Amino acid sequence: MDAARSCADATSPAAAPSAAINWGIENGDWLRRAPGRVGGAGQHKEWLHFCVYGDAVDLLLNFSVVDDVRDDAPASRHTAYEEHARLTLLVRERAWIGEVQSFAARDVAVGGGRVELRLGDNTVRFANGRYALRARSADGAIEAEIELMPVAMPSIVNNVQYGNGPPINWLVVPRLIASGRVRVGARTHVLDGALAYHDHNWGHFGWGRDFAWEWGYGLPSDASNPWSLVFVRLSDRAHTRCRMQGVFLWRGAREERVFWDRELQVGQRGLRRFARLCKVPAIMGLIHPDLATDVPEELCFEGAGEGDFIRGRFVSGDGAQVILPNDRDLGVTVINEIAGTLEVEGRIRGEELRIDGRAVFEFLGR
Amino acid sequence: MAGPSSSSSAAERSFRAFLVRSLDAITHETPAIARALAASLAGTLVRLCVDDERMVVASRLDGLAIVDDLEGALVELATDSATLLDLTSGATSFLDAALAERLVVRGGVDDVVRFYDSLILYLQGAVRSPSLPRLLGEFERSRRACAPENGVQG
Repeated sequence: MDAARSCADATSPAAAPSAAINWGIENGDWLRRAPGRVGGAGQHKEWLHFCVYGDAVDLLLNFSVVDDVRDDAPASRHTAYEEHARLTLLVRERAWIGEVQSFAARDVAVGGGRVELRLGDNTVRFANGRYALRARSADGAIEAEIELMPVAMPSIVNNVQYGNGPPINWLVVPRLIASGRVRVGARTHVLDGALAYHDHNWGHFGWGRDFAWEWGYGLPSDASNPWSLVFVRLSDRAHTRCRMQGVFLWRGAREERVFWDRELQVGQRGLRRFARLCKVPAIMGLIHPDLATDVPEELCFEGAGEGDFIRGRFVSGDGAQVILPNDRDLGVTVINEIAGTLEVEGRIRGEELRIDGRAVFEFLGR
Repeated sequence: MAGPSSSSSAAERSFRAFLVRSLDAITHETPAIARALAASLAGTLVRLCVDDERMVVASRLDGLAIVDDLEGALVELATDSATLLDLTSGATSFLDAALAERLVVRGGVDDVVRFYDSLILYLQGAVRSPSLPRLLGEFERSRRACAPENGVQG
């Protein structure tokens, strides 16, 4: 193992994040802010997304700030400009529960150019090499106070074009070490060395336009396993035309390999039948009460190229839906958050790869 | 004086007051949906019975109006605040509430279908209106003493 890879291996909870990881986050993960606030284009959306895999609990937190897209909204000019801030909080012990909270502008502080966001008493901030998260459900039944230490280099992808819309952008930190606690009712889950994931998305795009995605992130159950994986596939709304696809692999702190587009074959098997689905915001369940989805029972991928290969299988488990009203019509966009298991094997640069662990895959579209 | 302020306070906390405020918000914040909603109920009177309150929704040239109960309603919906809160919190669905007879809708088939479409339009306006989370929260708090506890959706 060469010195660079040895230094880059930061899977131990006790290891401090490298200066490179810190630099990557401070210079890549900063909040872009909506240009409409200063007379630029509208329809901006931006969110910070976190997923923590505890021993007996999964937690999803999504802090979002999106432009007001109503035709009758105040013109996008300075003080008349409106944004909407929301916290999506989902937690799973045996099954997903959660909510979406909306915040008035007076209760929101967004640190443009930094990773710093406050929605009411819910906060996310990156400082001293750590993300500090605090979140609480409106009724206090769910509470999370977590510190996340990134141990993998962020990967940033800009200007991903889909259809005829403006491009989207994202940054991914595939592996963090979580400490803190998550309380669900009277039960408190202590996190000590739990693995976690973070991404940040931004761009001018409209819910209801002709795009869909499958986005998955998986981490091994064995924290000493250095491999981390992110799967991305963008398609049209009908899932008939793939616009881009990729499997991103990190070994320790370093992004080791990306299988792109034609290197990958992706398939789905079956349809996951749900007896129940946690729908948030709850009121959207009245508009979209369906339990039928196009979430597959399994999503499989195979990649090969340059002497490397990978085979992976995600098996769908419990599901939650984040349901969003479309920007320009009376339809809805459904983001299916599916907890499941991930099995991956392969060989990368002559080294065996294996991941057996948990994953959350998002299926957005219908 | 306790009496008048109590009754005016009760009126402010009524379902009718919430409905009027929500329609006002939809009218100002999603006017296109408000117009579609009014058009969907054109020529139809809908009676709403929630707890002890009875009122009629009527479509007029300038939009929907909530008026005192009168004859001629083609559709009647009867329910209670607890069921409404369970619906908005995800604790139950329209179908489950109807099967449990917690929500009863009466009318001709075509009129009931039309009313359901209008109800969904109302919800479409509500979820796009920035004021509705606050208004719904105020209504929930006004009913908390009477309604079962509803917290995070599960």
